[in-house]
Amino acid sequence: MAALLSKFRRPRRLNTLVPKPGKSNGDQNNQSQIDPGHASQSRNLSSNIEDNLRSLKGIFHQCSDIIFREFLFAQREQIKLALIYIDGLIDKSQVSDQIIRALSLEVPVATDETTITKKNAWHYIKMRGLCVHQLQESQRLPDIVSAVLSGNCVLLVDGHPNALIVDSRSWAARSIEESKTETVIRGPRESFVETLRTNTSMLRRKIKNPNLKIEVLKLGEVTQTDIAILYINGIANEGLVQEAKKRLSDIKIDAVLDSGYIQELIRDNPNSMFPTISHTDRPDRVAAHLLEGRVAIMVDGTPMVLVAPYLFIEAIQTPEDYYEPAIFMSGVRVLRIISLVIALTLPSLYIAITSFHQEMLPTPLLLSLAAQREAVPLPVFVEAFIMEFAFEIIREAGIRLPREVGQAVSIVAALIIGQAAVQAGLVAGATIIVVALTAMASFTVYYSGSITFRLLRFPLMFLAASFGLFGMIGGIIAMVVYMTSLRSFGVPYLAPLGPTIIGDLKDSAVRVPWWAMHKRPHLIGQNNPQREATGMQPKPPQQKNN
Amino acid sequence: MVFPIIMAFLVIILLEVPGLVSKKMWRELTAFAALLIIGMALSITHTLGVMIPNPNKYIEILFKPLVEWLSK
Amino acid sequence: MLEEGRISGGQALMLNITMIIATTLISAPTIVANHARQDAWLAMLLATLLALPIAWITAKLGTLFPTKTLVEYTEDILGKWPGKLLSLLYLLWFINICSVMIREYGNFIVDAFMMETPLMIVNILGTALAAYTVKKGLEVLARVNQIFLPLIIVSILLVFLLALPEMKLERFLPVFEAHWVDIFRGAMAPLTWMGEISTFAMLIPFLVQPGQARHTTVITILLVGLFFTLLVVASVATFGPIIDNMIYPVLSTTRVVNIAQFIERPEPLIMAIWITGGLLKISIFYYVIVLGCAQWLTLKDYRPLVLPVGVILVALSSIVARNILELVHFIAYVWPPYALLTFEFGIPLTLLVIALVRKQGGNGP
Repeated sequence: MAALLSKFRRPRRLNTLVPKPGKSNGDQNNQSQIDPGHASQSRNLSSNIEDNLRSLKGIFHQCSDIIFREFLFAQREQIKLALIYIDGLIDKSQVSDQIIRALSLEVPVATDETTITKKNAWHYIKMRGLCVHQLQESQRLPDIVSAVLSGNCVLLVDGHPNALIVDSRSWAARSIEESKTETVIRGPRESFVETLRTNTSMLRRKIKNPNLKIEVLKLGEVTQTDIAILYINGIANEGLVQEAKKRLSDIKIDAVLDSGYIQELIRDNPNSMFPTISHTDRPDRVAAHLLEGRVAIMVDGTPMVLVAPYLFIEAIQTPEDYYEPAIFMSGVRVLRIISLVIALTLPSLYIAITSFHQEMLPTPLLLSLAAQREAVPLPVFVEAFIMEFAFEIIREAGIRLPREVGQAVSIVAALIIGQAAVQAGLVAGATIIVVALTAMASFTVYYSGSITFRLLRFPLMFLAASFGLFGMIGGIIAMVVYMTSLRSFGVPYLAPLGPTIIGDLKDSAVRVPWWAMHKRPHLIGQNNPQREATGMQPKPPQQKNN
Repeated sequence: MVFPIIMAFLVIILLEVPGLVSKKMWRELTAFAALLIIGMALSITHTLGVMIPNPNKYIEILFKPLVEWLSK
Repeated sequence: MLEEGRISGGQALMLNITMIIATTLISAPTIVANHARQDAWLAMLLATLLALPIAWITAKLGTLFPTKTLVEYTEDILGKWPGKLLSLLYLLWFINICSVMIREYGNFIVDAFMMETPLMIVNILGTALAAYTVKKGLEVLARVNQIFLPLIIVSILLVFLLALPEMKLERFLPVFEAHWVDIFRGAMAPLTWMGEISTFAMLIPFLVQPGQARHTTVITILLVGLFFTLLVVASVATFGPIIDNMIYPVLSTTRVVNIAQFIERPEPLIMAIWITGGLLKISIFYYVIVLGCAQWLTLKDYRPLVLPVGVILVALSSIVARNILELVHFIAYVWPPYALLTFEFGIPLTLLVIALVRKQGGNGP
């Protein structure tokens, strides 16, 4: 009974499926396994290499890709060395040449053998023997285990409790390709890959400034995924950075496989369907965001980088807007806004007008629509709903289709929806046009910006069918009120429209040329508002006095 | 016609009262209850067809001379 | 403070503008032209002039008590019980106007666009939407207003621009035909609408800089006066003095728009303007009511009161008038003397005099 009660009073531990040491009473192999996240289990290495090897072999029992390579230092039988690494995560030639060869063959050549003793072996190895570019040391077993699992090599020296951690990471990774979800015509084409270090290096190349801070931490009790927080010190808001770090360190979950996990765990308004943290796989976008004062969060293992805070106006902004001339891209921005509105409201408008407000159409159009509606058995709402739903099925299937069957299936789908439905008299031609236009309109913005509106048009259709234009406009107003009340890391979601900030409107529906964008976005870049000198507009050279 | 009104009131109560009780806001709860009772009384009697005196009529009577002057 | 949000001067200005014009812009010209006929524009200008003192009184009272709303400082000026009584009367006044407004709101939508829908449905839906907005708080209300008001104003101007071909300046002749008494009578109703700026007294404490109250109120009156005059001018130019027989002259103006047989009858635009604008105005008054009630009862939060007050408003909106004729009669003839003598001008003036005589309040920042 007391045990039962105590079970409820004890603070809950994560069930990470890794049994704790000392509690595996019925365990067959009787090996103690370390839960890497549990601090009180830190054990230190001993000076005896055999003990260390034994404990490490115990931890890595049944891990067939962990290699234990024992060899001798400088040809001396007494000084045993052991190298522990994971096959597949290391650069084999570096390990063979620069560690094993350097320590066994080249040290005796370079120095006088007699000066090397077991006592100073460690110092010799570290300062004179190893020809490697990155070196750390540690005495704690969890650090060693973590280092090996990250792809480093661990060198144990007999007679010394400190182990050397050599960075020799190299594994098969996807090469840097063009982004598949965020394509541009003009602008850099590279996109992030799954390796954290490669991604951070891509950002370093864009922002060559020591103020670009990259802080790492490990999240995920079982997966121990590396997470990097990036911000530019002096531009980013201190409070924002602190808040981001706090929210990340509060995460307690067993695995972090993608940035999406983190996104759901740290966002404001977790139940809202409007995203308040954006994600992107383009380095130029992340760099631009960092320069405005935002914070980026990179997750090892996924190319999608999170950027906080995120405002609604960013749904219509693409990187290309800033590379092509301002006039053209302002027009494109307006087009995108209209497309978003169409994607949200066109089916509802169609339903509302044909059901309730027929007098609003010009007469010729009205006659043609009426003729079509005569032939169709279903009420407009049902018809439009079915067609929209069918299109969502096609869209989702299009993402999952194996490439080989793609062609054939899309032809069938087009035929079914397009031709056959109309000819069979199930659907009016006007409805097909509306559905197709809505679908195309929703593709003008990047995927993440449009999913919300895709979903929201269904309730709006329902409102339009029930209450006509009044219902539709009321629905839109309710949506706007809801969006205005959202905040992303403290910044109002609909800024610069919500709290109207005239200065920020320079980058909303239009994009003013670069010589006019003097200041950073008001609410995000408060720390360092000036980003450009005034008077940068290109002018003809002044007449110079002699 | 009365039934949907009662349903609406139940919905309103369900939306607000649990929050108020859990936060122990008794003053607010009493104000809420008082106002809701007034509202219920007005709505239900009006739906049932009982003629509720129109306050605007009394205002008109009060200001009759000025109203006359204005509407000439 | 019950309300933690703060609004800027610009947001307050826009709130005031919406507060005054949103439901009046559809039928304003009729009521004025009733007396002044084609000199209605003169009546409007007169009304603007006469409304400035009301604006000044509101702002002055606000700066004397920069952290208190109307409901709170009446207690300071008159003493606890008389003050509480006056505040109660003010609350009843707000509830009265708000329910009349909701009635107007629903009436227009049903009369002009959706004849078969029962009025109560529209009223209930509109009030529910307003309740949602009010529950979100003052800052959200101000921001939503900032988003929609420019759209509303631009749409109205667009409609008038499109109707330009139909406008004739001769319809203004003969000028100054109306007797000055009639012009004065015609100015009463717009004066009452502009006098609604006295409601701003409930919002002044939430300005980031309460000292801006004076600017805000005066500029509001000037802008609103300009806008109303424009409205009247456009309506008279399109139809002439017969607008006193039309219930919704602005709607009728949209009905004559005909550009190349393609852009015809942009009525959905008017409907959208009315739905959004009316909703915002109802929300503002609704918020003022709920905030006032919460302050009168010294509660910690006004949010629980939103729904019950909504029920009362909807019920009253059905009771205040039996048909549109009674409604228009009330708004055009009963309301101006009632409002002006008491809550918009008479009482604030008395309060100000008492406060100054008793040397109360400090000068705001």
